[in-house]
This record gives sequence, C-alpha cells and structure tokens, in this order.
Amino acid sequence: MKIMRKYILVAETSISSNMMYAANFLAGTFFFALIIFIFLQLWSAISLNNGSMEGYTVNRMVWYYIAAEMVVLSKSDVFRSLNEEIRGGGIVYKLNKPYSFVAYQFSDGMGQTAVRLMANLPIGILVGFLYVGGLEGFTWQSLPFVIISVLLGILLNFFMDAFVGMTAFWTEDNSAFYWITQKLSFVLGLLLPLEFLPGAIRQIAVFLPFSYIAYAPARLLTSFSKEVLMNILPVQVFYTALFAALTAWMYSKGVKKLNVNGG
Amino acid sequence: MSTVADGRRYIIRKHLKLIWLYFKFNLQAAMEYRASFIAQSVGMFLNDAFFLFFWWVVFSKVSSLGGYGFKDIMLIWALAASTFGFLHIVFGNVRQLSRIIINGELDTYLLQPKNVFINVHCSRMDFSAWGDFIYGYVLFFLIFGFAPLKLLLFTLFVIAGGLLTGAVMASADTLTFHIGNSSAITRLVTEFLINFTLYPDSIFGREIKWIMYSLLPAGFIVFIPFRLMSAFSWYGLLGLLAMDSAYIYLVWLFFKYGLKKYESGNLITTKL
Repeated sequence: MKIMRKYILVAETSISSNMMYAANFLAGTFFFALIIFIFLQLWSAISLNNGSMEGYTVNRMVWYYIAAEMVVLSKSDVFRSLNEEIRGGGIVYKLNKPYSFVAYQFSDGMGQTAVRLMANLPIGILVGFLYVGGLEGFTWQSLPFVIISVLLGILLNFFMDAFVGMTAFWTEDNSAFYWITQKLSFVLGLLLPLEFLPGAIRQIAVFLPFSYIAYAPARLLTSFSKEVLMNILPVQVFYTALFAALTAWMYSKGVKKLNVNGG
Repeated sequence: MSTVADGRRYIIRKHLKLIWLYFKFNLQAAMEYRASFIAQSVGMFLNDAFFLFFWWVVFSKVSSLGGYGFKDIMLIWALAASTFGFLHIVFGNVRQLSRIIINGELDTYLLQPKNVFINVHCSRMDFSAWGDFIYGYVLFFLIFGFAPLKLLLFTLFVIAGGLLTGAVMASADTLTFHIGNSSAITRLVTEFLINFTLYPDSIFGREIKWIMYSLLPAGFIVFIPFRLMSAFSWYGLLGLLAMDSAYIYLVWLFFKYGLKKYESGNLITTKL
C-alpha cells in the first residue's frame, strides 16, 4: 500500500495539473460533440438512401460512436511524453528517483485519462440524448460489462501507445509507427463497426488487437448479449495484459541502450 | 503612379524570394535528417490512405451519398490533403503563432526588414506535410490520369485554398494579442475546418452550410474548387479568387491591428 501511495500521488498531481487547462479541456469536449454530430449527419444521409445497415440504425450508430470515441478521445499523451523524455534526455532525471519509470508514466497517464473521461462521459450522454434520444434496446444488465470494457479499451490503448513510444530508444523518429497503429485502430472499429468490413478483412481484424480498443466497448453497448460478451471481454483482457508485458519488456531492453549526452 | 506600382511589385517580389529561400533552407534541413523526413512523409501518406479505405467500405454499401460518388470523395480528399499539405510545407508555423506570441518570440521577426505576418509563418516547414501534399496528387492522377489543364487548375486551388486555410487559422491565433492564449480556439477552428472539408457538404443542413461558406470557409477551400473542376467557369474562378483574397486581406489587417498590442517578453532567442 505504501508503494501504491506514491503512484496515486502522481495520478492526483496529473489530475490537478490537467484541470488547470480549462480552455483545452473545453476544446476537447467541443471536438467530441462535433465528431458525433458529423457522424450523425453522415449516417442519417446514408440511412435515408438505404434504411438501417448491418443491423445498425442511426440511433445505434450514434451511440456506437459515442462509446468508441469516448475511449479514444480520453486517452493520455503517453506517446508524446515518452518521446520527449527519451529523445530529450529528461528520462535521466527520473531514473534515479525511487519509483519505476513505467509505473510513473502509467500513473501520470491515468490521471490525464481520468480528467478527459470525466468531461467526455457527461458530454457523450448529453449529446446522444439530444441527437437521437436513448439507446434502442439498452439493458441495464449490460452496463457493468460496458464499463469494464471501456476501462480495458483505455488500458489497451495506453499500453499500445506506450509500446510504440518505447521504440524511441532505438529510432530517431517513431511518429510514423504511431500514426499507423492509431489509424489501424481507427479503421478497425472506430470509424466503422467490424460488421461493415468485407468478410476476409473482418476475419483478420477479429484476431488483431486494434479493434479491442474502441469496437469492443461500443459493440457491447449497442448489441449486448452473452455471446458477444464472451467473444469480446476475454480477448480484451488478453491483449491488455500482453501489451502491458510488452511495454515493460521494451523498457527493460531499451533503457540498457540509453545514451544521454550533456546535462 | 508607376512609382507606387513599381514599389508594390518590388515588395511582392522581395517576399516571394523570402518564401522561396525559407522553403529551400527548410528542405535542406529536412534532408540532413533524411530517414526521419522520409518516415514522417510516408507515415502521413499511409495515415491519409486509411481514410480512403473507410470511404471504400461506405461506398460498397451505398452507390451515392448526397449526390457524391466514390470518385467525388477521392477528389475532395485530394484537394483537402494537398491544400493542408501545401500550407504546412510552405507556412509551417501556422499552428505555432499563438505560442510564438505568448512566448514573446515575435521580437526576432519584428527586428527583420520583412513583413512579420509572412516572415513568421514561412520560417518553418512541417516535414510530415509532404505526405499529405503528395497523397493529394497521387489521388488526382488516379482520378484524372495525366490531364495538364486540370492539373494546373488543381494546383491553383491547392495554393489558393492553402492560403485561405492559413488565414483562417491565423485569425484564431491573432486573438492571442487580445485575449491571451487562444491556442484552444485555434485547435477548435482547425478541427472544424478539417472535418468540414473531408465530408460531403450535402450531408449538412442549411445552418452548417452558412458557417461553411462564411466564418469557417471550408466551402471555398474544397467544395467550390471541387465544383469548378467538374464544371469550369471563369466567373466562378474569379469569384473564388476574389473571395480568398478578401478574406486573407482582412486577416492580415486584423493581425496588423493585433500586433500593436504585442508585448515583448524581452526573451533573447537565436533564430538560425
């Protein structure tokens, strides 16, 4: 518990420092509302042509995007932070402190995420009700599992970003890796539910980790059933644990290669 | 009269040369870190390509979206990507103006015998923007093949649209002179502008279209050029260029007015 206290303190500090930037905070929530609005317009136009698609009505699509975007837009800046620390050399001031560098980044990132999630959650619910009303077919029994899935999605996103961020130990510029992994998670579940993808791509996407960030919680919210739950939640747990382990492994390998000049 | 006109021509030539020199030196700097430059450009190219996949899936389900087909969406993306790419290549400080004003870094530019507005914007290049710029042209060739006149028109729209986009973003950043840090407003304006240029305008209602053709002129950046590429008219082209020029001129006046309120932070910086 004593060990945990210092990391809780880091997370608390991160929460209070993020709360200070109220303007950025507001801009983020406006952006969230804008994205949902654009998708509402887009799918309303599509549904006017064809009615509902792949079992998704406009109502379910809007709530799908709210859940998916909430996970993605609440993520922390761990990739940028790791890049700055490793490439800028700031990491050396953290290595001699009595905490684990990875656990420090995790606590700091979770503080950021907590602030963003607390802003995005009420905005998402409000926007959903204003745009399309309550979610069709919503069941209260799905809620605890949706919450768990949202949290796992956020954790998986964090560890994937941290994993890519750790490549800064070896590469001069790793932004391309970040954009590509980010966009893979966008097309495999954020911009479109997997049900919309062509058969072969959908089969591959199910085995990749990207769709377990945004698609998993959004699918659970909009199409909850025991079968969907059993297909999604164990895989989400597996990938989250895998990327947490990979991040720790990358750090242990990378920090041995660290070479900082100057002071 | 001719002396005044000659003077203006000289100033324009001088500033075009300044933009060219900055472009050349920034590109040389990019070449010093070639691997990073290529990685960033290719990364951005692939980043854009993922969105085409999204539209391909959408159009495998519907034949038309508010009157737009898949090829139309490709052209919208081509215009938007190259426009944003051009802006960030030539005027790479476009998203940094607010920070530069707050940090008092404008001092360096104020001391130089060049227009501050132009000088500050073009002194940096965003290397990843090459990926956007090239992506737009690749899409253009996929849609039209080799069509010199259309290519010329496309390039003209990319330059005009880039300048207009830069002006809109600079107007939000210029608010920093009056209200303090306006970077959150700039971020929001940029996100609105990007998102309104990437989706067919026909999906939006009348109120949004009013905004798209006035305050946040996404319509003049992408959709009027899109229509002119399909059905060209001289009146349309001249009207578009007049509108772009008026907007840019107003933003320049706004910046000049704001500059009078600038307070130096007495920060000593070196600009290499």
